[in-house]
Amino acid sequence: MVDKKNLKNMDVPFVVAVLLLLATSLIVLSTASYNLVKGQPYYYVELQTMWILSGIFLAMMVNRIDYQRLQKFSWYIYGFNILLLSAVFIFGSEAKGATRWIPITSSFAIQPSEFAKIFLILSFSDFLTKRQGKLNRFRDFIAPFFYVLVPMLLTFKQPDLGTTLVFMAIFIGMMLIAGANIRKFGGLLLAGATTVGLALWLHFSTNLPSWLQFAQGLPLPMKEYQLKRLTVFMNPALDRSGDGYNILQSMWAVGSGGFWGKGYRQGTQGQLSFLPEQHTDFIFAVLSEEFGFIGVITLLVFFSIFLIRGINIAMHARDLYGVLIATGIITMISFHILINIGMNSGIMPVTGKPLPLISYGGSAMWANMISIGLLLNINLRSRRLIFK
Amino acid sequence: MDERDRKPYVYRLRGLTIGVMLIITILGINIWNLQISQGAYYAAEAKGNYMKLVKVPPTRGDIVDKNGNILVTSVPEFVLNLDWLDLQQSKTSDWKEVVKRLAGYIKPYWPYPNQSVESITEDILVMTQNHQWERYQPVMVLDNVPQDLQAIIAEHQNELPGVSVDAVPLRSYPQKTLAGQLLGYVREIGDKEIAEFNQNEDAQKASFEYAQGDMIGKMGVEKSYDFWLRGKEGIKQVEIDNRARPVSKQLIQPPEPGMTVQLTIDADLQKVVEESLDQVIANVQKNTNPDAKSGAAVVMDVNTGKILAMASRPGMDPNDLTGIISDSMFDKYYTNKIAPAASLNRALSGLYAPGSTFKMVTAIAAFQLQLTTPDEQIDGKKSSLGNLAAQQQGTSEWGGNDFGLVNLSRALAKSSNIYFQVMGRRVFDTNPEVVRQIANEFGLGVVSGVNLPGEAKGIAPSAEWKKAYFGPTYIKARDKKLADIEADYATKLEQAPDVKSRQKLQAKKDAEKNAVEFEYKQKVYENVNWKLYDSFNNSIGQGYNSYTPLQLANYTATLVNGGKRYTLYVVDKLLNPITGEVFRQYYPKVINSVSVSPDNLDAVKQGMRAVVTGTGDDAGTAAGIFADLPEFTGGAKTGTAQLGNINTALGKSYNGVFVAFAPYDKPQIAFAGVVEFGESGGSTAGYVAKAAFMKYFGWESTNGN
Repeated sequence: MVDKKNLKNMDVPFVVAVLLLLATSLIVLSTASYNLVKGQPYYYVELQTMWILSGIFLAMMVNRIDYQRLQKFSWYIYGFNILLLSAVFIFGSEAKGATRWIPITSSFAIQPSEFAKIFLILSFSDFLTKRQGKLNRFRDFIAPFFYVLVPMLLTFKQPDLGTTLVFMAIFIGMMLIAGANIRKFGGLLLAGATTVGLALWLHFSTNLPSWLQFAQGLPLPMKEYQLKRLTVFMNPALDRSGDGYNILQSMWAVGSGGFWGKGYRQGTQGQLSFLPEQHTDFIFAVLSEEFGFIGVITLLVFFSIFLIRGINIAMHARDLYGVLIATGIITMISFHILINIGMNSGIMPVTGKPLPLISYGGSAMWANMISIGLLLNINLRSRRLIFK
Repeated sequence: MDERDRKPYVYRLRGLTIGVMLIITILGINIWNLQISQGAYYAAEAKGNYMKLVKVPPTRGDIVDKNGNILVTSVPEFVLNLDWLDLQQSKTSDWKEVVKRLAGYIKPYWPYPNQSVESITEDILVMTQNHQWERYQPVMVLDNVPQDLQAIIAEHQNELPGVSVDAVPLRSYPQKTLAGQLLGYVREIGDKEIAEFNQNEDAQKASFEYAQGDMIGKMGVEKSYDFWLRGKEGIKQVEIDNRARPVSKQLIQPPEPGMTVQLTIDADLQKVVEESLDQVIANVQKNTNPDAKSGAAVVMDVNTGKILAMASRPGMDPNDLTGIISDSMFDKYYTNKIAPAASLNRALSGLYAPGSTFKMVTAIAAFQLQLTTPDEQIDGKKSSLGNLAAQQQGTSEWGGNDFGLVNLSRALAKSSNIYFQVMGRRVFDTNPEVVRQIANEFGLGVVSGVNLPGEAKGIAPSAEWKKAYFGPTYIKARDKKLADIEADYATKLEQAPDVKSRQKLQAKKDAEKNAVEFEYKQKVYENVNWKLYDSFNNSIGQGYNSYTPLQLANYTATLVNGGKRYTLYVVDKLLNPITGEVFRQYYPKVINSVSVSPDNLDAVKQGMRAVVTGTGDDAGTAAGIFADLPEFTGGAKTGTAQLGNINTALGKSYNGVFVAFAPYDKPQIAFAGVVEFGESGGSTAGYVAKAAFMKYFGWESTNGN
């Protein structure tokens, strides 16, 4: 139970930013999904309102239990997470070439990977808390790496490259905050990034010098469409009907918005359905087109307040466990923002990740609201209570 | 956690803050770049995405005769269109129902009578499906919609949203075969024609470019005036969605109809000439030669170069060539299987030996070189041609006649072969080029400049011409043989065992080379050099002479108008189709004045008068034709052109050629006509000339013919 006095701790700007983002979601969705369902212009707005309200309820529920009480169950959480991710392979339904959904009823399915991220943050925070001050040597990195690798491989196998990358981001972010030796860990990251870069280069290169010929077209453990997305991202004009089409249409939408935007429901790219997935993955393009640079800046300001206040919550957390949970959540949401807006504006490949709190989607909304609930949980029970 | 423990985490979290803000900043800068720096570019791209510009075809201009009678026009053809936009904006929720209803109404008119309503519905849906990336354009479901179906559609309009009966312009030639080849016809442009049409100066000046799918004139005036006839396309702006369905449409530039082209042709005169030509050909076919099926005639204004009538037989109905061309139609118009190809404009592109109509050129050449006077008399006997060898190369008087002593006037009147062969021999012996020069001055063997596609140039022969025409073949053959000998002996000489055998081989080689040179010289002597028989043949319009009826008319006009050769033309002016204002007027243009003295021209003119006058022994070859036309004061010349060498199959076939002018003082019009296999010009083409003059001057025959 939250003490009434705890409410004094509440980070008001943070809560206001969340509410503004949710309001933005409904406004943008009311134009982005206006033409999607014939005869029901507010179909998605109504559903999203439901997800938001239930999400707020979930956040409040999460708030009721002191987060510190979860720490004891860390290994159960970790185990449950593995089971959940494996369940997709058993009960999962296929959508667009990947099994990511578990059907609950005929019209309702959940996307376990959305929740898996939270479970990973919770369990990994405990794992790292136990290793406080013991992350200085290379060998200290091994155990944490394998701890995260298992769920990562499971999502990679779905295949859900986007979520795999999110896990990677969470791992890196939490490791750095938890006190990993910057030089050693940073060196490893650099080496890893170089290896991946080199492998991609070898895979795609066509005219290598003779001494490198043997490595030309290096096979990569990725699906053909995922690799194609990468090449198309490098040159969208190559594939004007598929992914390249999506990237181009999105860039045209964003770019044509100009400074003031085309106006509410006046965007041709969105209203005439040139944009793909305009209520989910490409909702940012609709916002950019209709509300222009002014709209984009407003959204980025909301996100900035949200993230900075979120980091502030981490700074004032009661214990390292809280610091790390908050860090994980902030890293996760920042990374989502980066890849979604990056994808909408042509500087990131298409990975199919929604924009947190804005895109339409039940699972994502619930997962994000639970995350916010956790942040508030940490916020309300921050150190100020103790040193009062 | 106390403050000291917390410190490193706060420190690292500040790093996270910087990282997060960096991400936000990078994203913001990138968006700035897209929306502000390159905003105009992306706005244009996005606009191109949904704004489609659709061409609106203009109405092609009419072609009218000199009196404004319509020869070519565009008539509405009714087509049934299905417009997606109107369909979508209607209240009917299920547009497939609309299509099904439509299928029910059009079933009796559907091209395949046994199809069920369901299957017609399916067909229409397939049409719209095939059309899916151009949904902003209406789909044509049915063409040639009859009036009763139009009524049915109009009656049920409220239950058929998006369905409309629209008029599209269809090219129509209401006078059928009248001047068919001169007018031409319209079809879709061929791949190879795009470059040709883009050469058009007017099109280039207007920066207009022909493209695939354009409808163009394929021959005649439709082709040469295509740019002015076609008008300017309008532009419709259609807003579409991602499935190419139209959302809105707006006409941003209305189409401009094509110019009205007014011809110099007199449709009534044209009709008389064509009918007369048909009648003459039918007579020849019945009485003399069943092969007679074709011919051509031209009537022109001698003082301007305007063509008043230009007929070619067999006739062509352009209406036959605008739609699907059946095999039999193809054979009729483009092959000689059934009859001579009807699409050929024989007046413009047909080359004919002029026969005796050429004799005026020979006479003028002789006057120019002062080799005779109009009064000199020649005895019309074969012995006048020279010795026996010369006589064998010449031609006797026609029909075995003996005209006695003939001067120029009698020679023309009687069409004396002997007189003109004597004159021709003198001319060619003095200067073998002068006949060609004079022929060219009168427009023979040179293009007339008439603005019609496909004009033939013809041949006005001379010694130089013959050498240039036949020489190269023999030179090439000789050089090849010589090279072969060289190559053959090069190895043989190398392999020769001793000097003696080498000398022997060398001698043999020289002998072979000499044989080749000898053979060449012989061939040149026989086939390339200008011979006496060439002089004789050429003097009476046989041999290599070949001209178009258009050139023959122009030649006659130049003879009688004082020696001025005009550019021929068939288009008088271009008119604005709405206001009727003259946009462009074409004026007569003199290409050259002939280098012949007026006295000599007059002597020839008098001789041509003698052709149509006189009685008894003095009667001209065409005197009988005009006997019942007292008002006729003009002149003429008959021609009977032998089609081939006397030893070939066509050797005994003759084309009838006729040239004429009227009136004698201040001539107004000239005529030239050819009737293939017509035997003599006087008895065939002459009657076409007579009909044309009667029509033009309003004369009537005294014996009611």
